[in-house]
Amino acid sequence: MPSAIGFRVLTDWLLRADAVRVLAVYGLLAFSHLATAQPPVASDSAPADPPSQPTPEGIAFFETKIWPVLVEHCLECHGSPAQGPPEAGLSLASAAGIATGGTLGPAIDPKDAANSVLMKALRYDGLQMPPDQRLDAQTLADFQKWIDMGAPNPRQEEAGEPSPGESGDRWQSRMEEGRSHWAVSPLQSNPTPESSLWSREPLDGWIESSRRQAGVEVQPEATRAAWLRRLSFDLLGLPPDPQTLDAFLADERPDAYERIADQMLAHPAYAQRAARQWLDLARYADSNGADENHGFPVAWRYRDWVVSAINADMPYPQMVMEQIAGDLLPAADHRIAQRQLTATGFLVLGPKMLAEQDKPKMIADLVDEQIDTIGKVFLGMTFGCARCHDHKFDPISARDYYALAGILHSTRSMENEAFVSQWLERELPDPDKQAEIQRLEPQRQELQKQRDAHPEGTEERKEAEEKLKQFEATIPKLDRAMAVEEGKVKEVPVHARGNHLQPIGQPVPRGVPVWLASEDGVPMPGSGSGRIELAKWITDQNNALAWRVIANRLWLWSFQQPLVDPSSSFGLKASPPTHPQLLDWLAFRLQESEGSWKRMRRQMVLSATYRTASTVDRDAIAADPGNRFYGRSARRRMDAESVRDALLAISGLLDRSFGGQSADWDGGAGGIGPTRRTLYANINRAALNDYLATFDYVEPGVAVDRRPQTTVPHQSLFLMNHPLPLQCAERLGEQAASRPPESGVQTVQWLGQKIWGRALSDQEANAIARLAMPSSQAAEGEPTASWTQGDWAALVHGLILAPEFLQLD
Amino acid sequence: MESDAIGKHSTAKMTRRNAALQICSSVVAASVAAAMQTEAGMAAGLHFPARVKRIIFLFMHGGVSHIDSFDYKPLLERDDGKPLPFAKPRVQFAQTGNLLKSPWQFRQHGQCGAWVSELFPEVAKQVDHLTFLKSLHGSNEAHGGALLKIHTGSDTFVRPSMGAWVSYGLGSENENLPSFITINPTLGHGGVQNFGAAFLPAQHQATRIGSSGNLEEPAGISNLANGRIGPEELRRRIDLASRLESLRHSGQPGDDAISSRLSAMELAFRMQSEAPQLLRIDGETEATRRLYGLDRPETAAFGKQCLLARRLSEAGVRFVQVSHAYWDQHDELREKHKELAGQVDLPIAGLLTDLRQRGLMEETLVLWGTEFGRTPTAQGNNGRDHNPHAFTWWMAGPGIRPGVSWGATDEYGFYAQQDRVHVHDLHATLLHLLGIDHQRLTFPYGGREFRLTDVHGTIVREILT
Repeated sequence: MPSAIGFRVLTDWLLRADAVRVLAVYGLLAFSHLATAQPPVASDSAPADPPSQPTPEGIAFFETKIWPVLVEHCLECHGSPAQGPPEAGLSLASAAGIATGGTLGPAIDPKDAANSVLMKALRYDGLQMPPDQRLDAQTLADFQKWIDMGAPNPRQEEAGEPSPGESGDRWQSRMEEGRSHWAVSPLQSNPTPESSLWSREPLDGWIESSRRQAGVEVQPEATRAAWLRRLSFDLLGLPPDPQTLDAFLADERPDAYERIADQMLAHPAYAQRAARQWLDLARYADSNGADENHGFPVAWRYRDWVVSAINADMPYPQMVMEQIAGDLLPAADHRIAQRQLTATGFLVLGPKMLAEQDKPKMIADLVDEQIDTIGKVFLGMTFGCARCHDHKFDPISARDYYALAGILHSTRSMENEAFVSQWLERELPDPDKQAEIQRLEPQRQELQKQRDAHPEGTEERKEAEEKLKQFEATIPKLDRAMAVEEGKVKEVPVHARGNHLQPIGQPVPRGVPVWLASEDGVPMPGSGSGRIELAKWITDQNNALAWRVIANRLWLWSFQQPLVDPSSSFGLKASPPTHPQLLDWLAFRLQESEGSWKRMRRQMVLSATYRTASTVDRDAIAADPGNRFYGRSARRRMDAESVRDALLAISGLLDRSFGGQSADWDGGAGGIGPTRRTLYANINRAALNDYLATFDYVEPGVAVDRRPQTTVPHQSLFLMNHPLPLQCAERLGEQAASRPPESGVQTVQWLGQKIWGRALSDQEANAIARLAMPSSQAAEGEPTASWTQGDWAALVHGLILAPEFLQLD
Repeated sequence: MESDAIGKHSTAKMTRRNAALQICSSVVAASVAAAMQTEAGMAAGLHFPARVKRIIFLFMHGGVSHIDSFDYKPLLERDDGKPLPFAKPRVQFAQTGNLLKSPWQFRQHGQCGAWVSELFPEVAKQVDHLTFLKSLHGSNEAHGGALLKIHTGSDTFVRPSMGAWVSYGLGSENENLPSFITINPTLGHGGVQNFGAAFLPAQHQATRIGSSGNLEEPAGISNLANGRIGPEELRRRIDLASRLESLRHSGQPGDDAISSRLSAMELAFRMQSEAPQLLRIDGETEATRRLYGLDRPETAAFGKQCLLARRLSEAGVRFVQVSHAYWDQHDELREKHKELAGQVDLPIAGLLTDLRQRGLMEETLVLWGTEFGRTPTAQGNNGRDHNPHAFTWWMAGPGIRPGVSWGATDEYGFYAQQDRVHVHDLHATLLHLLGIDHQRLTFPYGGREFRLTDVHGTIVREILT
């Protein structure tokens, strides 16, 4: 058992009120004064010599071994004087504070580490620090070593403006490295390589020249059917229907490919499909997840905003602006105002610890989540690290982080901070409704008055109450959307270890990371959070980083692999682009088109690179296993949404309607789930639908730039046993059986078109029919002649189970 | 399909290669390496020899009161009704009043003399096999945050759960079954995140059997059967699908993605045959059923889950979690804690005995825990508030010192005080027992390497043998 009672202290300074509180918290109740051991050091003794210029190794040692311990165990009482007088006058927050010491004199004696006040306290030799628990032997050894090294400590400022880590040569050199980092350098304008017979779009030039240099062979063009199926799933997330396939195969016009691509890009299904890719980044969900999984009843308005924006080919800078600061933009009419307000749902959608009782922590975490998401999604940067310390690799300092945090602390994302707090939803302006509400208000008040005239509990009051309720039900209500609004401007200081209770120094002025900003930085308004400025800066044409990031995403969505991988990682440690000139060229083109996704996607899908066939040839794959040189098209598995949507589509069950509230997974006859496109199915963060998880729908609580494509038995179990594929098989089986029995081969071909999206030769169709023939039937003659509906259904199920269904060539 | 596929480890090594190596080929090499490791020898561990192959985690949801169960506080009894003589935490979930003594008597048990209250008479008989951690502490005072903390290490961000990390690190012992299964999990308070894979590949998330509130009959794994076509017809269709694929490539094997999809389908079919048998307990002897309390109404439900946990663990599932709810006694402490303890005490003891009798205890770690403790101060006159500052867990299994009690709280049990063990330390220790260095089991996501223990975690070496 512990014998914490009997806690000994040397001097009476520990008995100051705060110290008593701290000690008492840990149940250390009995004090005794033991005037032994260490005589107090006169407080006017000269401070120890300041350590000479610390070496990088010394600083690293301090930062990794010493500073975290000071922050965790010491600074609460021995913090910077800027936070109020430290215990015993001793501040451990800076080198000077440690050297000067407190009432017991300098905390360290570099010439006699072991006998330093600090070491004695840590050893529980006379003093006992930290009071709640002795630090472990390794930590003590680290402190001893650190003092022996001359106590290197880059934290020189005593008060006012601590700039953790931001000074010193190490930081300077990192910043220099950062300034010349490829990802943030101005976009390079390079002439496109000369076009060859192979190339179809300018972008092919770079792909071809790098491939030639590497000596990698290119596959021939994909068949028209394979290209169409690839295109259809990439752009629409749906299979091409047999009529489209037939028409395209027969289309001999020179611009047949262009026509199909344009048709698809103009189709609303394209927006639904591309929206899903953005929603992965925006960590879209219909519930909060985290600790209290409350539903987000109107999150779907943000989802619909994404679909509409993409459908209208909204310029990318505007998309960014509306999502970060839509609430602050002027609007020509209320519809635009509604749209812009709804877009800011982006900032509110994150998972929040609603029941966290430490409300300042809840807000700090919420801001952190917003910063992290903004950084990853728009800039390919991980800012989250800098909450606790300067970024380990990138020149992103803690000050940079808190400069950004100030912008979001000046923004309201929460309705309240109640026991279980409520996120912010805002009413969407609607003049007609508002006028109607105003018109009805006097009547409502009158009814209220009538009710209040009766005493509580009386029959009359009940009646009047009922009347009032009925009337109120006829008053129109303004729609609501998750959205932010401006708060009070609040700048925040750096916090030690990201702990919201341990501010260091003065508030940091709001701004954007020094590394990424131009020389003048981004000036913040005196009133207003600064979100407009932030969004403007992100999509400024000079912000090459942000344009590279979005160009890279559009490439990923077209070619299944990004040029910069991972695609939300553009920091100093990022792998350089496989085709840097191409990336810059794409970013330029995107800028030229004012950020039109559709035009960019069009160039990509019409390129020779996109038209290349995939292959299963092992030698070809071995020549470039990662397909870095695009000698073939990546074979891909349909994603979660496409699998369901395809099954619904080929069964004739798909409801292609647009927008609105999220559909319940329990919907659909016979347990097949909702028949709307899967985009519209409810995303519950705390009870993620099994189906979605099985097919690699990653995680609706974090920004996901690319889903994995796994192959797991649960996917097969779905295709084997779930009512949706089984119903699909039955429905198609029924249709197949009702076709003329003598055209069995054509029926098999028709199924091949519907399910595999390709035209089967007579020979192949015949072979398939023979394979599928029930064993009871004779082997000669027309194999399908006597097939029942069930036999046809079995064939359909076999076609769905075959890898060719899930796999896109 | 050959019937010998049913049963443990009976499938060919070649299948493992297909299943493990190719399944996730497009995503993560690290996990594959881990899967290969298991083939080399499961006891080898990932980084060093493992003491434990599998974990069964008995999770008591709601917050079991440590000071009413395993953390005996004589002063609390003495000072009943007096104010707490030191400060309460800065942040509290609810306001509490003065000290409230435990309504239950404590007694010392076994050779080791561990104190256990009369809430757990059957577990008390086994204290010489248990290792108590009495100085656990977390950081979140609400259920959701606390659940996420103990399951994922983070109460702030979305992170993979410990079972997912174990699955990722060690792979599966039985390719016919998932490597991480959770029985009757809660869907609130973090829900799937508590047993999810977050950014780890999806196959590492737990397979869910039943859900909270459905204590009677745990449901099956989804899509294990259908009501339309029988297994023979399904088998025929699967064979057709394979032949269709061969036809397409004229007998050539096709690429890895195709062969792994075909083998995943075979595996799915075997799972479909094997899993339902595992979930059926009618083959267990009468003695075993009694051991788990299946013959008593109050213990039958949890007993069945514990028995199921043993069956799954025995079949090679790496991490099995069983959840029991709901220990959140802000009031009705006397009645509810007694009732809940009555539901789990006998089955837990039964599980421990059964594992020992079958020799499974030599490679299985049983972990008993809860998301936080409760305050020694009273809420109302018959309740206690959440207390993340101190709680008790225990474990049983190889590699740890039995009969030992590590760490201690203050005199009243409000704060973990001596040899404090943070949740991260617990995680580091668990991984260590499985042969995993918690600092080296990492996964790249969003530009950096992540670990279960983030940047924390100290192995509690003092409890290791």
